[in-house]
Amino acid sequence: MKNSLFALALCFLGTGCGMSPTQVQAVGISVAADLTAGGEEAIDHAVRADLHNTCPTLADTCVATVRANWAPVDVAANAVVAALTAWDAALDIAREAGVNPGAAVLHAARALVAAYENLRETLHALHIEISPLPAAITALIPLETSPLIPLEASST
Amino acid sequence: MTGAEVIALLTLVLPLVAKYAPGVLASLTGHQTDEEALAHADAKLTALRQNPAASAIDDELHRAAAKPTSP
Repeated sequence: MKNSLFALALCFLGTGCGMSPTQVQAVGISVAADLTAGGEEAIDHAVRADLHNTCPTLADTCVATVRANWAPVDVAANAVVAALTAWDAALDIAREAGVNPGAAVLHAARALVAAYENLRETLHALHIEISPLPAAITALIPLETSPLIPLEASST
Repeated sequence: MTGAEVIALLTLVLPLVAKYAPGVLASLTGHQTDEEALAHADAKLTALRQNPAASAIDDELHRAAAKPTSP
């Protein structure tokens, strides 16, 4: 992942990275997916520890309580996965349509950033810390919305 | 190194940088083509789970149920 971030950073520095706009977005999705997978791992460990500490005999009512306590985390984590999937789908559609993926995936990428930050805050409240999205990812998302730009026009 | 030597060196080096740097940087990412980059992203997404917390609880319950009970 560090190599990917290094290459993305070089792209944003304007040095010319040899990556197409589609590749830049795809690497962004891959890096965000890696971070999300790390978050899922942290959730997994924390839930198992909580279950064994709270419900050593795994009594039904106790397990149900633990499950309910962790439900908001699942909602937040599922939103991240959904946003990532939407970003990936938007990238595919933009590529097939021949439009600038940076503009086409704007809303999906923004949704990912919002969902990921929500997951971070939800986990932080439970004393579980996960990595923030790196600046190389958030830099993929322009601050201002822009209309879809055909690839030929955007490259000139 | 004189100015002429620097210019001569740059004349030799810059075309090589222009030719190979994009490939080197692309190799850093592990992606050579759009298709490969997209396939890599798809694979990462497929590995993500739904309901990670509930899955962990279910897995622990299955493990406990699979444990042999002492007589």
